[in-house]
Amino acid sequence: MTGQIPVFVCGEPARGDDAAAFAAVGLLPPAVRARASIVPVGGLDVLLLLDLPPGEPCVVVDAVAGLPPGEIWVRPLAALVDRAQALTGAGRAPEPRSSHELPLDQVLALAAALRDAPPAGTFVGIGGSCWEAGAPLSAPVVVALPAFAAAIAAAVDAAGEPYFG
Amino acid sequence: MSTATKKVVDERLYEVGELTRVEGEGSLRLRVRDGEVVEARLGIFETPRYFEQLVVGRTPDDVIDIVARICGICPVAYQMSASHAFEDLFGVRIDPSSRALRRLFYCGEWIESHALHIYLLHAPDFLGYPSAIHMAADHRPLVEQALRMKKAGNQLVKSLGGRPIHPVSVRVGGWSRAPRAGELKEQRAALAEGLAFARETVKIVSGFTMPAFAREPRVVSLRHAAEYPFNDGRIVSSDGIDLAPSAWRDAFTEVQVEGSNALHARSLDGKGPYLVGPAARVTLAAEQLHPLAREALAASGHADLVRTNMYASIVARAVELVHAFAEAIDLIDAYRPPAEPLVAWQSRPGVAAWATEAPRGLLFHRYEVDEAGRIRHAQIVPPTSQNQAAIEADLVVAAKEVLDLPHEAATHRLEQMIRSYDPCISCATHFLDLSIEDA
Repeated sequence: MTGQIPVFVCGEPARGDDAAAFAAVGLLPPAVRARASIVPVGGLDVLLLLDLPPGEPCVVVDAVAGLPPGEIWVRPLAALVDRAQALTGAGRAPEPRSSHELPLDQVLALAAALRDAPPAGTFVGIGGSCWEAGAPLSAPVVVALPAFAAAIAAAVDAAGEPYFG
Repeated sequence: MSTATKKVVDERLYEVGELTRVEGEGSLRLRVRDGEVVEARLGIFETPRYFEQLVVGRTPDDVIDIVARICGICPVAYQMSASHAFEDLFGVRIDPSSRALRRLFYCGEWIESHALHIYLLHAPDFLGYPSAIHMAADHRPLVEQALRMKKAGNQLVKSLGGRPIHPVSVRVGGWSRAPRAGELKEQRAALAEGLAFARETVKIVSGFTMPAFAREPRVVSLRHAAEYPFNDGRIVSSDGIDLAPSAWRDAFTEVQVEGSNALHARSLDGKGPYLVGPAARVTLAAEQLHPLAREALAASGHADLVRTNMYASIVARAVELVHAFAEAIDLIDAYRPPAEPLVAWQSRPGVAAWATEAPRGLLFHRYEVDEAGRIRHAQIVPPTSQNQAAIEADLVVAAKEVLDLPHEAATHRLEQMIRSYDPCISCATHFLDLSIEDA
């Protein structure tokens, strides 16, 4: 592999902890940033995943509701697809998020359905607690940002060739 | 010994827990007593978003950027209603090529919105799938084509607005940057492919089985003498309203409704609910559709049904998809970069007001501008606010058709009816829990 690793940065920079992913990628060391293609996306669009060559890994970064604030949560994208399919199969509903946008796990599941395989790569999330427009990051998220950035860097490393920088 | 006869009342309560507003959450409550609907409410509990307050004290160009954030799928309409309102007040005449670019901008937004709604949100209802994901497994080519159409729309918005969501290039007086002709021509092939599939889409959705539903709604949209309504024309209705695009308040108002954080729009003449959106536009402005779209509408055999059966709005949406692709191609073929992308303007105090057509229907903005060129007061009336009363009225009609259906089928039918409006609450209506209680 010679290309950069796409890092899809989800969230909303002006809404409290929803800005965590944007803040964390700003802390990535230059060597990691050089190996990554940072793509701010707001909400993850299935087209972004379908545009990737089959099997090419990516990293999806977002804040997560329902986890303790500041807790780092790393999962293979395939595991989120499994979760979405399990929820749908059980007749349970995805969490509401926004009109005209599918929840992230549903986007991944749709990509998987269209590709006959789940997207390759890793989801790196951080628990948040405050999503109000104009609010700053919560204190636990601020404290955890370096660890969040380190987890993103590790996911980039894991997605690419061995890194000797 | 006498025998008292106790009348047994059959009361059913249909409750839908989580819908969303104009980008938000809401609920549905339907109470039926002895076969008659006694309560039909689209409750809105979305936290107020205060955009009308956020723009107070800001300049017109600030407003253009702020209102784009109201909606991720139709920021163009918000920017257009605002920019036209200010240009009307300030006496700004934009370059004709800039005006053509704005129509192209609208085409991109309608393509994005309509393609997404038809295939990912609404078609699963007709094809019997609980979600687009399930549908994708069996109808991969359809979903992939839909995504390609949406991508073509995204690309148009991006090349004109700088990015596909919440664009940044629109200014009062035109554009901060106009694209080169070559940039737009690069998109022609994707648009031509999209046009072909949009025409096929009309055939596909016309073949869907439409649930029984009949009413004659009052419909309202812009209508223009020479073009299909995007950002210009007069506000007209099926029963004679005819207003300048700045004069929405001459015929309509907003009211607070108990249990709802969204204002409901009402007509001042007391004639009740009215419908905005694709079905209204196709009803009132079909003669201005692109010839290919007119042809598709005629071939669908549903030209009348889109007005009387809300479920058939998917056909109107598909016809508009054809229009948007076809007009986009025509605009690109005729495009010459504007000599003056951004016309200079001077602020002046007064009321700036204008209505344009968002994918979901008429979108009215009104701003009071002070002596310093700052916003003193703002009013934004999105299409879903205008359709809420019509949704509630149509729920009454739809309810009568579902009372004899099993729980699951009733759930599906009512949600499908709500989704027919593409009310920006469609995602939520896909995962509602409808509870039916028999008293």
